[in-house]
Amino acid sequence: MGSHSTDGLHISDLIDIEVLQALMEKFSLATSTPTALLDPMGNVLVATGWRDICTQFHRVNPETSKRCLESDVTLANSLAKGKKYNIYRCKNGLVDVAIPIYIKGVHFANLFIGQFLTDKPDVDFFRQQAREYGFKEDDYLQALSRVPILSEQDVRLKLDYLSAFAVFLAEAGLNKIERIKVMESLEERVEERTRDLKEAQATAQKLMIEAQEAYRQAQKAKEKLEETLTELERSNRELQHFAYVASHDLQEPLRMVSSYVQLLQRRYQDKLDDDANEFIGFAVDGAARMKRLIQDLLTYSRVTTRGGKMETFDSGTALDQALQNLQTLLQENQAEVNRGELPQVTADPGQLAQVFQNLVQNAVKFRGAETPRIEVAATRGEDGWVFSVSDNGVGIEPQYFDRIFIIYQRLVSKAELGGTGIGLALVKKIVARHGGRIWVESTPGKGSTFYFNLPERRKKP
Amino acid sequence: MMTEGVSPIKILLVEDNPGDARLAQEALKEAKMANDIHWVDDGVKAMEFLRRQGEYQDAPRPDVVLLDLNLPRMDGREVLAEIKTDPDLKRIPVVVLTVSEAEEDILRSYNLHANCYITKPLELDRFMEVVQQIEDFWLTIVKLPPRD
Repeated sequence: MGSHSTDGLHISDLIDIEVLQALMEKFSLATSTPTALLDPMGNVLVATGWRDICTQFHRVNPETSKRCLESDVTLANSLAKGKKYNIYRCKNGLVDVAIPIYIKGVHFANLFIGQFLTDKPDVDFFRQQAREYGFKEDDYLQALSRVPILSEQDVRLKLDYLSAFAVFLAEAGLNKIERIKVMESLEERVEERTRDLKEAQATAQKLMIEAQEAYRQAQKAKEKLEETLTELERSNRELQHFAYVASHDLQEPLRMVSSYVQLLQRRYQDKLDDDANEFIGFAVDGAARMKRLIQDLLTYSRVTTRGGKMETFDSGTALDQALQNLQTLLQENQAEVNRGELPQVTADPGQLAQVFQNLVQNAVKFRGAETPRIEVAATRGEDGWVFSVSDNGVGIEPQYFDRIFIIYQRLVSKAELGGTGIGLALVKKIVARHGGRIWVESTPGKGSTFYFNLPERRKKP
Repeated sequence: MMTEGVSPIKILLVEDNPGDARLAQEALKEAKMANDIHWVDDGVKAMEFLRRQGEYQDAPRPDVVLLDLNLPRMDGREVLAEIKTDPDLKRIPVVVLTVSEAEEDILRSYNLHANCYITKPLELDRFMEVVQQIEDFWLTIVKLPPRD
């Protein structure tokens, strides 16, 4: 612990001064030796066995008393400079000896024995002094005669004893203090720990409340999300149902319009004028186009509502089916369709055929001046198969890459090509139903490649 | 093709939609064979017609029934089932008009013994083709052993 444990301590903190006073008084009586204990600042703490010559003469007269003080200070100063042992003849003619008391390396006090002589006194000197300071000579010399004469050896022994005794007491005191301090610091630490613990407990409590609150919030958010999701699913279902019902129910009145306009055309073609024929022509054409739109819309809404079963089959057969359906179109355009090796897939066979059919149909419809050449291939991707349908047609400007997959978004006018704007939207919806996505790469004037992937289906346990 | 002395084909058309009924009638007007078409608009009337009950006491026995499936009061499936379980009526050929191929599949699974299924056409041209089919069908029928 070093000097740290003695910080701010006074010798009186370590030693019961009253007890020391009593002990040192007994020592003085036993040895006829005056003693004193002073703190490093010069305060007298213990004084015993002081001689009359000092108490009744030297320390009474202002002049000699001043000398006493000077002696004390000189002695103390020399000790403060680290001198271990100091014999000093005071200016009033007596001898004082002092040793410093160190406790754990710290200078705590100075122990004095003094007011003695080492030789027979020079009586003339004292007579002179009596005269000089007006002491009653007889009384003064009487007091001088009571001053003990001690050998240096004797002084040392006494001093050693006393200092060892004082150090012992002081160290005992210090140990006690240190123990108290340890106890106190322990208690403090216990208190501190208790405080910390309470704080930690409070913090934990707060955190728990916060966590519970956060959990409640999350739960609420989750419920809200689930609600929204249910609502979304419901509205999506309703929308699909609406699309289906609307397109289904529209067919009947449309059939009436279409059929009777055709009947008009059939029966009265040659009986009416050219205007009437033209009007009927527009009506027949409009009804026919509306029929296609409604059928496409029905097909579109049936992708999810009336989707078929997922089967594992050769995807080449789906392409065969598509090409068969497109036979006339392919022949008219002398289109050439090549295929790479096509894999076994797990999909809705009818829908996959529809995807191939729409993509190949588009490839022919958007042909360039050259003979249409179409290539259907598949490569193994990270997650399932990636199919591609490439052509040497007119291509698509990059800014339309996303737009072409949106329902009823067409890039060409009705007059140019008779599509209903649903083909690629349908393809996208079918691919999405299979968990895949569709995208296009194209160079205008050179051709386009449509890609779609069919992710691996995880087998149900 | 109308042959002297051969009575026209008697057709019972069971169809609740007047537009479709008229269209069928118009299409049959253009048929090569003479026909005599009778129209009722629900299943109950169809059965009364076939059994000559109620207001149909004098109804002729039809040579063929054109039956729509979606009918008020008694639908086409019930009419078909009743015709085919009635010993008197079961020999009359029934041509069922369905609205979809899917419906046709479902009907087949009921095993109701319709003689023919025709998916309802949208275009007049298709309707004409259907009439043609009915005629062909009829010609096949008349080649069969004479009716009772």
